[in-house]
Order: sequence, then C-alpha cells, then structure tokens
Amino acid sequence: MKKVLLSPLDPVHDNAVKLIQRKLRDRDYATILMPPGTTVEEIVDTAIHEKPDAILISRTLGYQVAETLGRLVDLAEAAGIRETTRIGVGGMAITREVGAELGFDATFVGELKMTELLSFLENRKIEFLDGDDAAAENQGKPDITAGYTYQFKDSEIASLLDTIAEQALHWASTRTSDGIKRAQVRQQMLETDTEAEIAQLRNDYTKLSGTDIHSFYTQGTLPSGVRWLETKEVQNLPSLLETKPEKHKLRHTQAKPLFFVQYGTGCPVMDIVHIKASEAWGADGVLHFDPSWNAQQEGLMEGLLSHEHDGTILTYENLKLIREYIGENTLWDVRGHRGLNTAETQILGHAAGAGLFKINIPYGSTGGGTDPARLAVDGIYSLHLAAQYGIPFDIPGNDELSGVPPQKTFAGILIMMAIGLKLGARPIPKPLMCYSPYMAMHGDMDDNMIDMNTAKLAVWQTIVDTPVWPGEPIGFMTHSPERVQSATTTAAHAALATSLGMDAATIASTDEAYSKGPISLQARVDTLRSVRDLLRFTGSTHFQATPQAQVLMQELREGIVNTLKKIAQRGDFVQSIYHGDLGSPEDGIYPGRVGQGTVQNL
Amino acid sequence: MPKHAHPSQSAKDRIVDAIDIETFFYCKDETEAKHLANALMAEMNLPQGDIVFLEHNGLGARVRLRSYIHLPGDHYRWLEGSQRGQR
Amino acid sequence: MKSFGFAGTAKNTGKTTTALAVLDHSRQAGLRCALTSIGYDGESLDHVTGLPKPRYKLQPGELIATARECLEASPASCKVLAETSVETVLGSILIAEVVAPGLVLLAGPNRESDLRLILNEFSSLSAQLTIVDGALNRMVPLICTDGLFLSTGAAYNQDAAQIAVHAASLEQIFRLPRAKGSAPDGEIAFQYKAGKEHILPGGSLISDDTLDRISALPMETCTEIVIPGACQPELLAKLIPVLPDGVLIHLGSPLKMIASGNPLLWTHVLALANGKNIIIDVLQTLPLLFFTVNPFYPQYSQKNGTYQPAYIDANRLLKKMQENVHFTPIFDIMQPTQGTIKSWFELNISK
Repeated sequence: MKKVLLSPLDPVHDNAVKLIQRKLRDRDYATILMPPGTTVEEIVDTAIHEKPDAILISRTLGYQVAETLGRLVDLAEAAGIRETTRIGVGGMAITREVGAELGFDATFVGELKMTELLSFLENRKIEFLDGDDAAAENQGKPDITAGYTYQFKDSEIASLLDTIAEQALHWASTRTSDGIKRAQVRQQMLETDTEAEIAQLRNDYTKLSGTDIHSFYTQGTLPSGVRWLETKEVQNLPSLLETKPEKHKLRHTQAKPLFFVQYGTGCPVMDIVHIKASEAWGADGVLHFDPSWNAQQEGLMEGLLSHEHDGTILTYENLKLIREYIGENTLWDVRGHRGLNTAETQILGHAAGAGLFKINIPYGSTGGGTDPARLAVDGIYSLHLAAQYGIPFDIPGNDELSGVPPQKTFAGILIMMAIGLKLGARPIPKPLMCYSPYMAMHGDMDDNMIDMNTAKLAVWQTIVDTPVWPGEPIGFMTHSPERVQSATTTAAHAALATSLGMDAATIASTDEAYSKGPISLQARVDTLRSVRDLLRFTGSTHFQATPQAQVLMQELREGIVNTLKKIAQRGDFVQSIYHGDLGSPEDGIYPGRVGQGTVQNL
Repeated sequence: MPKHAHPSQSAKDRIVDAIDIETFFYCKDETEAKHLANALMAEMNLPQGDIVFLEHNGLGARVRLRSYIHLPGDHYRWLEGSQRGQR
Repeated sequence: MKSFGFAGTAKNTGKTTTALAVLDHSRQAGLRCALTSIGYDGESLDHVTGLPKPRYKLQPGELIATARECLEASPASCKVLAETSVETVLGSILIAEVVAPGLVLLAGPNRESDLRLILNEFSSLSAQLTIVDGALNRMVPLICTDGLFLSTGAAYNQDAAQIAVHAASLEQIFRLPRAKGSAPDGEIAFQYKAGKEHILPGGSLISDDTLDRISALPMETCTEIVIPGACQPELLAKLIPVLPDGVLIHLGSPLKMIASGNPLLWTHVLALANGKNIIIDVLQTLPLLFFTVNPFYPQYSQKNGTYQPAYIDANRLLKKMQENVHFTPIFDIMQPTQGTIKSWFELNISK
C-alpha cells in the first residue's frame, strides 16, 4: 500500500488536499493530511519519519509562492528524502515551468484529474479509472429513439392525427416536384461509377435546376461569396487528429440528455475545427446548417466549396469532408426543411453518413419561407427516405420564435410525427425551450422560466411514448451578447432539460445573440463548460415546478387538440398551413413563397 | 473628441484596471499554447500579461489572457484626464 | 572535467550573466563546454517584470542536458546523443550535442543524484567544463559540482550594507572546514567519551520534537554530534548552550545549511559555538569561487504600470562587499572590471 503525505502550503485553504485524500483513500492509499498553516519544516520533518512514497502540495495564493515552494524542495533534498519520496505540486498559481524551476517531480495544473495524479503516484500511465465514462465511449453511437414504442397515450389526439396524416399522405401521393426529381437523379449519380453515366445524369440534373445552379454546372459560375477550397487548404486537416483529446463528459450523474451543437461557419475546414473542439469539450452530436439562399435555389452545387457568410453549403463533397473528421461516436444531423432541396439534402446527408435528418413541414413552410405545398411534397418524400434508410428524423419547433403559440407548434410537430410513423420512420419531436414573443405577451414566464418549460417538455409523455429533444437551441431568446449571461442561461436550460429526463438537447454558443460575425470557438467552449459545471452542481436533483406547470400542461393539451380538430375538420393539411391553422399572420407568421406553384401532379 | 478626454490619452489609458482577451489557439499542447499566449500579449504590447486560464484539449486551447493597465495604488491615467463635474 | 554551479541570492542578481561570462571564457580557452540546469531557464522576458533576460546561446560541439520538451522548443539545432532515465515535469532529460548555434531552453535534473548522473554522462562525452545553472531558492544539488559562483546584488536588497553582510555570512558558511573521516549513514549520531554512540533516526534537526529528543540525551560526556541532513540554525542555537565546551559538530554541507535557514542566523550560531570552543565543520563541501555583484534591480513604476531597470550605487556596493567579504573574490558583473573575471579564469581554470 502506498503512502501519501498531503499538505496545503497555505495558511487557510485545504479543500484540494482534503478532496484528494478522500479519493486516494477510496483507492486504498494510506494518507497523512497536514493542516493549513503547516510550515515547510513540518512537512519535511513528517516525511522524514513517515517515509511516504509521495508528497502532494497544494498552494492557492500567489504571493511568495515560488520562494516557499523552492525552499521546501531544497529542504527535502537537504534532509535526504528525495531519493525515496517524490514531490508533486498543484494549485492555481502553479505552471509546469514553475514546477521545473522549483524542482518538483510533478505539477498538476488546473482542474484535478485523478488519472494524472494516480499516474504520478504509481509511476505508470493510467488512462482510465473504474467507472469512468471511457467505457461508454466504446459502446458505439447512441440511438436517441431506442426503447420508445411511439404508442399514443392520448386517444383523442391519436385519432385526430391519424385522420390528418392519412389525408396528407394521400395528397402527397399524387404529386411531385423538380426537387424530388433532382433527388432521384442525385441518387442515381451516387450509385453509379461510370463517368459517362454521371455526366449524362448531371446533364439531366442541370435541366431540372434553377438559373444560378444551371450556370454553375454549365459555366462554372459560382454565386457571390462562394469559392472553391483548394487541396492545400484541406491537406493539413489530418494534423488535427494527431493529439487525442480528453473528451469531457457534460453529464454528471444522469445518462441523458445527449448534447448537440450547431455548426455552419460557411467553410467546411473551419467547421471541422469547430466540431473537433466541440467534441473534445463534450458535445455528443452536431447539426449542419446550410445557408438560406442555398436552400432556396432549385438545385445544389457540387465540390468543396467555402462560403463567406453563415451556413456551410450543402454539397456531397463538403459533407463527405466533414464526415471524415466527425468522431466515430458523434451523432450527425443535417438540416433539410428549408427550401427546395429537401429530398436531395436527405439523400446527400445519408450518403455522406449522417444519422439524423431535421425536417418540419409546417415550420419550414412558414418561418422557413418555403411554399407549403412544395415543402409538403418534398418533405413527405423525405420521410419516405427516412423510413427507407432507417434513420430518425427530428422535428424542430422554432416557429414559436415568430410568435406562434406552443400549442400550434406542437400540433404541427405531432402531425409530422404521425406522418412519419405511418411511413415507418422514427420521429423525434423538438419542443423549443424559449422565451418566445407569445410567452412575453401572455406572461406565462413572468414569474419563472421553469413552469412553462416543464409543461412544454412534460406534455409529450402524456401524449405519446417518444424521445424528446428540445432545441434549437435551448433557451432561445434568453441569450444576450454578454458571454457569462449567455452561458448561464444555456446551462440553466440544460439543467432543467436534464432534470426532466430529456433524451437530447441542442445548446447554443455564447455568440448566440451576436449577429455580426460567425460563432467563435471560445464561445462554443464557454457554453459547454458552463453546462458541464451546472450539471455537476445539480447532479441527481430535480427542479420542482409549481402547480402552475400542471395548469399550463393542461392548457397546452387543450390547445393542441383544438388545433388538430380544426385541421382535421378542414380536411387538408397543406391548406391548413396556408390558412394559418398552425401559425397565422396574427401570430406573426406567414406562409412561405419560395417554390410557389412548382408542385406537379403525377 | 469628448470634452472630458485628455488629448494625450490613448484608449488603453481609459481602462480602469484590466483588459482580458478571450480566445482559442490552434496548438498541439499546453506548452505551445502558453508560448502563443505570451507572444500574443507581446505582439499587442500589453504590459504585465498573464494567462488567467488555459485549457488545452485535442486540437487547441481555450485561453483567457489578462493585462493590468492600472493596478490599485497606481496613478490612474483615466483619472488624470477627468475634470471636476464631468465623467 | 570540471563542473561549476551558478546560484543567486535572488532573481535578477546576475546568475545567468555570470554563467555566460564563464562560458565565454571557457570557449576562448578552447574548452569543450556542457550545460545543464537544476531549474528552468527558457524565458526571454521575465514573466513578472517583463524585462529581458539573458539567454544561453550554444555553439556547435557543445553539449546540453535538458528536458525533451525544452530541446524540441529550442531554436538551436541539436543532435540527441542519449536519453537518460532522469524524468522532469517537462519530459525525460536528453543529452544532446549542438550542431547549429542557437538559443536553448533548459530544464535539467533537480536532484543531486540525477545531477551526478548527468555530469558523468558529460564526462564520458569528453566535456571539459560543465555549467550547471541554478534555480530559485535551491542550491543543495550543486554540492556535486567542483565549485560555486554566487551572484548577489540590489535585486536581493537595495541596501548595499545589507547585501554585504549577507554575503559575508555566506562566505563564512562556505569556509567551514571539512570533517575528517567518513560520514555515518544519514542519521543523527552522538559520540560519547568511552566510545559509546547513540543514534537518532532521521538525519535532520528541523523540528522542536527532534530538539527535545536530543536535549533529553545525556550531553555531559558528548564529544561529537553528526547532523548529516538539514539543520535549522534556530534549533542548533538552542542546543549549543546545553552542550559541553569543545564538542565537535558535523553538519551536512554549506548548501544544506543555507537551505535550512537564514545565513545571518548561521553567523549567530557560529559565534555562539565559537564562544564555547565548539567546532562546526561539514561532511561535504565545495569552494565558493567568487561573488558577482549586480547593482541592478527592477523598479516598479506606478505611473507607467511597468518595471524599469534601476541601479544602486555600484561603487558603494563593491566597496561594502570588499569591506565585509575577506576571502572570496568579488566582481561587479556590469563593470569593465569584468576583465578580471578573465584573469581569474585564466588563473584558476585554463591551466
């Protein structure tokens, strides 16, 4: 059994050494703990008589740190104990260079890492501890939908959804669009090896594309702000993987939620750096964002393309490059519900290796700006693909940000779920934890933000046995450009989502409310750290909502039912969107126009 | 120039105490991160620079750098420029 | 091979400048040089004052023992000759030969036993003179070198008289005679008349508890005491009055004495001992070759918020040193009299 002498060389602070003592005792080390205010002579004298295998010193103050620590090491040398006792030091003032100057055998900088400490004490490399999350790392990619039956618990809602979904599917079955046709051509292009065939298919594709995309394929014209990535820009990327990160785990005691971050700087190379850093600091999954203009063109481009504004262009090559660097167990979601390329986005994402597809027809055809009929046709086709590919699809409720009340948003999400389930796909609803205009106007969050968010998240399990994934991101419209505030509000929402047993959550960076430039890496790291620390704080505890949460949940359910009844009575899902049943001009939302009049009858 | 500004003052002189730089370095390890941090402070001509926080993981390091422009007890240049009755 | 340690009474007293001067003279004398450190030397600017620091620049053929990370970060181009078993916080220590001139970062062995190993390596590689750069507040490992250069000055204390008195105390410690015979194995030992011996476990006197145990022993017939490890001067000062006159006290080394307490307290202890004809000598020693004095100190300017170079009266400093330090050469590292370092070097090393 190894013996360790622990001492705070500090007049007051000894929490660090007490914590280390507890952890070492748990691992059967014999420990001797000196009190605060211990002198250098007392430490060395104790070591002379106790003969520990190691001395661990902690020191938090800055003044005279170096002189005191140097004296300790020299006195230890003078006393002849350095041949049998190794000396390590840790504390806020300590760096490895200071440790080297002062003659220590080890320095522990920053947050305590037991693996590092034990490696020192045992004089061998220890990478994992028993019960570590490292084992979980080797369990493969998680399936958010695993274990859920999708059985409806609310028969009234189930019945209404059945009617609406049947109608929508029937409506879509007799319609198509150039978006679907292009998707089918793209599928063939991906499946063939023959250059001549690909060229011919590309020709067919071009004929189905809009003017700008047509120019791209026929004349090589790039849209403004877009450039080709050169080989040399990409060839240095493998060096990113040289240093294996220590993957932080955001969760403390709970197994859920999985945490996602959004990326889309415009450049896939920069995206990869952001993804790798996000993974290192604990992100379990990433979501790809493309530029709005990209989605609103008929057709997608090809090649490695960089874009100088928000959103990374959707091309197979960009997605493939990004996929090459995404961690093996990191979940990858590609957004497809804006614009005219929904089905092709699904195909490209799947071909590149994405395991999740984001789509919401009501939201995409209002807040997302796409014509409802067009997005319904393309979107339902995409849900067929989701079922065929066996990948889940996630349904964001961001229309709330325009002012749509949550009951309408949730009705829309439920309809998407019902359609997807009928096709054999696996949906994941994404109620938005937000301080929406509706909340601000109706005062449902005046007292606190817990009751309403609790109602919005908890209501789902009363309706259907389903995974729930709040986003994108949680805490929307509670963020300011101030870094600490932004990180704090995200962390608070993450803690609530954890408390409520959510399966996943998408979190923002601290640049969420900054609109004049792309998200910075430090902004990402800060939020991830903040989430991690608050989940550490809350652990296995739970938030206690007030009875108001139950009232709000009941109101939500009633609102959902009323919305679904209206749509079922109208008998036309697409027309319901046009007529504002799922979000109206009074709510602050209008039907989209991109792709208007482009739906074709089969 | 605002009335209360001293003509010879730089913006740095108007910092009450410290300036922090929050950033993320692409670097292979902590040693390189520290080197870059110190180099950045020198490049930016920031006095008494210190690394407040540095965490390296994988491809880079999150850092917070600090430089004290005015310490307690200094002659505060931001006070020198102010006149009675004005901020 | 000769090896020399370079230490300072405080930061910014000129330790590295002194070492660079000796290195320069060694090169001129055609000696193959080697360099290591018991601490860390790698910053171009002092991280507290922001003032430039002298750096080691090595020439082709010279040897270095430094931590792996330091070697990799060193601008000088080096060929690794061996990897030692000595570990530091910056990696294992490598022995390398400089192939293209440049600055080097140093982080070397921090224990005496490890330093001995490195010096042996250098010797086996035909190094003729090794410079061992010191470290803040640490000197004990330097005992295995052939001599010590000690730097002091205004960065230690801005009062020239106090610098000189402190230096005189240091000189006094280094001039203690070497004990005859061999040393017992690391325990405190008492010899009595009629050949009896008493051993106390642990070789150091640094606690009241140990002092109490010693004081409980019969002292009337004690003839010799060995304290091979650390020894606090305050505690020895309490012990001396109860010892019989003429006792012989063997302490570890001058460096262990300095590590154990303020040199000025040792002056008091030696005076106490002298008053009782008690002889204090040391089991190990090394010569204090010379002092360098440096009138420079970093002065903090509140107006600018920066440190600026400042100086005390150099002539007064030198004068005070010469008045107090009688047996050890003294050089002002900043004055042209540095030429006398050359003379000293030629006289003592080159031959």
